[in-house]
Amino acid sequence: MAGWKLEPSPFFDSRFKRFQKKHPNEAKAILNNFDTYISTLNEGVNPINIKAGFIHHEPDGIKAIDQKGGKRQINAKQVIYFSAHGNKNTACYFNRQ
Amino acid sequence: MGKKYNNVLEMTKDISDDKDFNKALEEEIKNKQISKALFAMRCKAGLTQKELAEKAGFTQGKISKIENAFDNELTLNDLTKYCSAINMQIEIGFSDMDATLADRVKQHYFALMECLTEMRRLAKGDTSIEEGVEKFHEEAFANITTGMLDCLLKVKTKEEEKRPLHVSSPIDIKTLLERREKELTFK
Repeated sequence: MAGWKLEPSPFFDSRFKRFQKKHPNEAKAILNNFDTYISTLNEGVNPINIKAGFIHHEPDGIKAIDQKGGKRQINAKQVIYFSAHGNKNTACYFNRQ
Repeated sequence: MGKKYNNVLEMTKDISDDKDFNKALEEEIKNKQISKALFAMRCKAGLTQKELAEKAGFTQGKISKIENAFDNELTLNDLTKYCSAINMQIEIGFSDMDATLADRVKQHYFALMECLTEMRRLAKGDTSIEEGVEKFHEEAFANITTGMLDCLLKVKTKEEEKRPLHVSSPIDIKTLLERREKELTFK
């Protein structure tokens, strides 16, 4: 079941590359969690029902995904923020706390 | 509007030029298909990890571990208990490693026929169930043939030969008949 598309924000490229270089394990874990989230959305599950330790519900429909569940990660929390719009588009941002 | 991607792997491969990273990510995503499916099923059932843990007789930590595990780390026992808690059952099938997609289509066809036959056998003797089974057969027939027709139309490779449209001036029947008459007279 398809439907959701990923559209990186203008800053995503540069921030991601920097983060990936410095913290490859965390970057991998976050992207894997992100993939799990998107796959679940594509199964038709309402975002409200998607509950996991790596998902953080922020205001205005924004979800933050961290690296929980990945192996060999450092303690600092690394996140991707993205918002889910009604027209089934997902905007990707990349930020680090 | 920026470029859009169908999935995380596609996006990463396009943005990242680190081939080792991309390969490692691809392996991780592809080798966690079962745990991702379990996660989606739990969310579909509207359960938190804690709620599912209580139903399955696990700790929340165990559920988290299952949902983050690689496929080869999962045990059948854990899978069975997890699925039971969300009212799902596991079906294990075996297929020839050399089986083609065409073989799999045929296998599904025979499995479908088996299910329908079993349905009719179970319904025998009970009129109301038999009526229900008959209706189901009609519905299945309509859906399957519609789906198959759609597939058939999509698989057609030859385009119909497009004949050029010939546009001529309007036919003057009277002139044609007169001309024909003259031809016949001269003969």
